[in-house]
Amino acid sequence: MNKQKIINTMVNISSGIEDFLHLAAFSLRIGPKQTVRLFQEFPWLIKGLQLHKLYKYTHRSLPYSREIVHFIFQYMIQVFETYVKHPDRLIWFEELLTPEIPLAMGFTPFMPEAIGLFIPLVKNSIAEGYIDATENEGYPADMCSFIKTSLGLVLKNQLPAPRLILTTNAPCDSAMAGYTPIEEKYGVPVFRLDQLYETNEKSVAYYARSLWKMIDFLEETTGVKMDFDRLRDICEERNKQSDYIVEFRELNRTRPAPAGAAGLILSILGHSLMPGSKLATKFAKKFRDESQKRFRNKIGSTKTERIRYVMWGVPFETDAGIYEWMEETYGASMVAEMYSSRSYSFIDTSTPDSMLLGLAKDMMRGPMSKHTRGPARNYYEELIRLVKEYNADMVLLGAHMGCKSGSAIHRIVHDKLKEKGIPCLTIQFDVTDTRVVSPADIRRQVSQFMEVIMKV
Amino acid sequence: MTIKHIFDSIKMLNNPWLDEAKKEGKKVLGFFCSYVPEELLNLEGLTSYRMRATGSSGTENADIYLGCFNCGYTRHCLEMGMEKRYDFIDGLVFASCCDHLRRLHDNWLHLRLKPEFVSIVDLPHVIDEYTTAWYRDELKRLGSQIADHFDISVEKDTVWKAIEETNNTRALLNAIDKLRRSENPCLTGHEMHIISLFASSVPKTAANKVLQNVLDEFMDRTLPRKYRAKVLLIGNHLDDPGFIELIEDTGALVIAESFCCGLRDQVDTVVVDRKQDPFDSLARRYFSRISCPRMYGEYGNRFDKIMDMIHETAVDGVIIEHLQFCEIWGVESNMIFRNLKKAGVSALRLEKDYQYSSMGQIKTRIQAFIESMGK
Repeated sequence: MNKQKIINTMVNISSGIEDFLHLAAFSLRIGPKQTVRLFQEFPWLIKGLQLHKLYKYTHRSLPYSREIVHFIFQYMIQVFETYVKHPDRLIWFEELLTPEIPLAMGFTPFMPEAIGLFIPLVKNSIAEGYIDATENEGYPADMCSFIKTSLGLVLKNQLPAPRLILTTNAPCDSAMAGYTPIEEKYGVPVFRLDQLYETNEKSVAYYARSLWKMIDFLEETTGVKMDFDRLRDICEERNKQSDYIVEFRELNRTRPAPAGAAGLILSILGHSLMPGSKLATKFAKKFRDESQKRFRNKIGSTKTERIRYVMWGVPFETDAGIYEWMEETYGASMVAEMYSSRSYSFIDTSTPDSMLLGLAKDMMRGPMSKHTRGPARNYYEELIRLVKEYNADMVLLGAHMGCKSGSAIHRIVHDKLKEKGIPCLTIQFDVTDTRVVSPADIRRQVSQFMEVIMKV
Repeated sequence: MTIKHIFDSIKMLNNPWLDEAKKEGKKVLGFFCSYVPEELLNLEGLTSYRMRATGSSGTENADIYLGCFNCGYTRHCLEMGMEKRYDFIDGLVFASCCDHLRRLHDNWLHLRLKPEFVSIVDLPHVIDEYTTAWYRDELKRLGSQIADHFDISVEKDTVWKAIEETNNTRALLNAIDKLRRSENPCLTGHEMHIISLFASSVPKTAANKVLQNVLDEFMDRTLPRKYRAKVLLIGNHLDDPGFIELIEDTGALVIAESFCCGLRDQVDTVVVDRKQDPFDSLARRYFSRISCPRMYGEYGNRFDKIMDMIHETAVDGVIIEHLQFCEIWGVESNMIFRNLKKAGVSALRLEKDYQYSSMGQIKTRIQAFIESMGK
């Protein structure tokens, strides 16, 4: 074992101890009876405790992975503490709806889709039981499996029940349709935000008006008043986070790109789950600082960077190790990808109107919201721009079969990339179901492309 | 004019009525979704046509562009477009209805398929006063686009005239539909579907004449055979009457319906008040009829309307059909099915492709369904 490996192992252990202490403190706060109850009620929590397994797949990106694991642990602790102590404050928000408004009203927003995102990182087949539960209840097998996983968790009563639900029609019909049975299951009030097809000044104003209506709904349903001063604080803190994350992202333009795939894809966690919190700012700052340090020392996510690629579409969830395998085997460095290329727009905090308009713009330009809900040009124009700006050699297109909106324009993307002479590898797979395309098959396709087309 | 003539006309994409209209200089505007208001495509000098892919034999070329998990309707339409089978269409109007239709629109533009005029209505997903006003403004934008491109008038009176003409068609369809609700129905569901498809495929003036004849002809008619059960058919896109024929061949008479391309979209009229803004009336009509499940938050209203139809028509059971890969209807149909069962209503859920396969299997399931109702 070389010196670096020993250091990494030590840091991992200390990081694990820190997370364990957070958990122990949480357990003490809620008491042993409630702790046992949580593990009985939500059996997937056992798997969640093994999130440190992520380190196994991210040797060169460990500093980022540690922050990710810390963040997820603390987020989940907050959610479950609210569930146990103040269940009336726990509300659900759909993945593409940013939670600043409920946070400003003192609620704890929980994104149910997050579980479907986290657990396959630990064990790639774990989502399959929930997918089967959904299909066995008669819901379509061809729906997005990400949604089927969430719905399966709901149908099996394995998510903390919400007081109310906030949802949107983004990014796709599956997500939109999937919330109707969820609403029926819990019988709680639901507010639906409506994102239009085009993203322009008029449609952003329309969305902002939906946010005003959402505030009315929250006030009427819960009796809690909206606190715009608190929202201002959240948005100002969020702006700081955005600065850090944008800088972190921009540093990947350099050679070698400092941040690896794991850091890049999950850099969105702060903004997605707890925007405007000190925890998310710390998370974003650590990401920026690590990339800055690597940039100064010319350390990249690969030992020798030979290929720079942009990941587009849906990332490979069920094979957490694929990116490090690509880094090590082919010197392939992910320099940009779709989720982290969200707008992170600056929120003008001068008035309630300006804040809601800024949030509306941000949500409409969020990952997938603008890509798969709007016209095809939203999907490929940004991709082509990123390839140019980040000096990428190729595109890796994750064609998740359940994403009907994405699959239906991949040929257009190919045609557009071909016009520009940009090589593209499209891999059809399923985001959380390994039974559709196995991780081994995905790696085989990557190998062939890297060796035959990219000549690595 | 017999039902056979009408049937023959919808067996093809084009029809003699459209040919005649084109000879008169009219432009044919195809539309893909029930939220595209036919009225605006029937302004003076235009005639509307509900897009279908009748006669398509495969989707080999379209599947290169659309995904293999996209709905068959969109894939077959793209295939027909790529084969230049829609040459009689002078303009196309889409709505941002579902993932599949939005992407059909993208691919249509990408492949630079004919016709030259292609537009899309940015359709809200929520129904309230504000979204109805948004939709009204979208219809105005569409009206202006059409007027500019085809050099026609979109003045208030012209729009009202088109609305009244289309209202007549809707009223006639309504009257014909009532003929199958009597103790002894005068027409079958299969015939009704042929008639409604015909009404959405030919110029309204011509349609109204034919529909009036059909109404007169069918008024005193007696169906030549007895049926074992009466059913309500609900579902998504269905533009092949052969499916209802298959249901009725097994002995179940479709006496009521609520599906896309059928009467669900066609019978409600626009409130006419010439002092008012016609676009406002149009928007209200389209946002107050029984909604498509792409409108979210409306499931409860839709289910209530289905229950009302069940009680009003005293059907023995409900058949729910939907196209494969339509997740909106995939979820909706499952929920309707389960809630009908809870309400003690016999229901059958059938998923099918745009071009039918396994017809024998479907027939067997329908037969078993009828028997399960004790009929």
